[in-house]
Amino acid sequence: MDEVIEQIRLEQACAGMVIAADVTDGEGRVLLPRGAVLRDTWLAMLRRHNITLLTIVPQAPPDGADSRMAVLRERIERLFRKRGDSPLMRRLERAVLDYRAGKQP
Amino acid sequence: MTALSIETMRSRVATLPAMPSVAMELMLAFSDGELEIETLARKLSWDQALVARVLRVANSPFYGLRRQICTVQEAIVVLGLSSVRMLVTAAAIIGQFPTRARRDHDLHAFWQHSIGVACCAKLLCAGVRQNPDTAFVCGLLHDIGRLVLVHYYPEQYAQVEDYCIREDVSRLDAERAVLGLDHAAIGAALVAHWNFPAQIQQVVAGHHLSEAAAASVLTSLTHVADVICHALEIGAEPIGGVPVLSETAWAAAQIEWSELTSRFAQIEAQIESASLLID
Repeated sequence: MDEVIEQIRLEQACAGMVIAADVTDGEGRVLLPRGAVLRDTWLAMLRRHNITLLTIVPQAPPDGADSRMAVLRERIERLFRKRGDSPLMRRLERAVLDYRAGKQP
Repeated sequence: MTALSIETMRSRVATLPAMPSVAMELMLAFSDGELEIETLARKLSWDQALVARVLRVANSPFYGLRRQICTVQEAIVVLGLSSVRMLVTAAAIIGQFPTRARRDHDLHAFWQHSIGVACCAKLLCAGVRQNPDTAFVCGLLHDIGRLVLVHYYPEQYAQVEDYCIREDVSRLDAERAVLGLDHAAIGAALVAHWNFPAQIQQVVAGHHLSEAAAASVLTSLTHVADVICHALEIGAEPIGGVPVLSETAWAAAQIEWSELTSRFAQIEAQIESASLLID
């Protein structure tokens, strides 16, 4: 099974997140290796090196977020119930779900 | 079935008031960069209701101005001629029908959706080199035929609404099943009565793209914007679910996925401000 990874902006990063791919600077030097667990003090260093995106291993959401996501997924599925097998509509459904999920508190 | 004929509808829309002349002049001059600020302001001063709507939007948080704008001249200087021209046209179109709720029909939701499609079409038209103001007006007018039904055939339209819910189909399919014609045909008759340019009439008639005829780029763009606004539930949750996006229209509108999804928030923000055009 493929490893699940997620790309986030540096400002969304916080201590405890697990790095899923080597973070390198403009010249290819490794700043943080894959598997490293982020520490607060490293964030400033990454900013100094103009790193804007990080690839991380997604963390299991707490139960509350999990059920909110399930409700959202169900709502969006209902909204797109007439999509049939149109690939365009599947893509739009996914985009709307991601957008709404990002907006959830 | 409570059939309505297109001839009856044409006769009915022919009795509706004409568009305010200032709005028509402005719209026909969309491609005219030479329009004088003074001329626009003078003509507008004849219609204070229109001016009030425009200033309400100009002073909304969306534009984030530090001081109050009190006159059309000021609005043009601060927001630019193109924005003011678009706001005036939109205010004139919306002002043609009462916006208070009629029976169970939520007119605020209707206009929110229409304004949404207008803003969305305007934001996404750059790739196909269409005039953004024309794209906006097409979006605003695309469902206008529905207002004729809501206002002048309320009993028949109540049957359409019941049918939608009972059968879980779109309003378009329900109109065809119950009335034997749809809001696109009625809308096209209305915008023809208002003397809107032929390209806008085509969009109103064809935005559902159910006809085999090749759609214009503006029609494709309006169709895409309509589906996106349904997907974002702008106005209200779409009855009968989000309509299926036409692959041909999507290709013709030449929109990048990344561009589209990055603009969802922008579309929602613009609508919030433009919604002040509704009473």
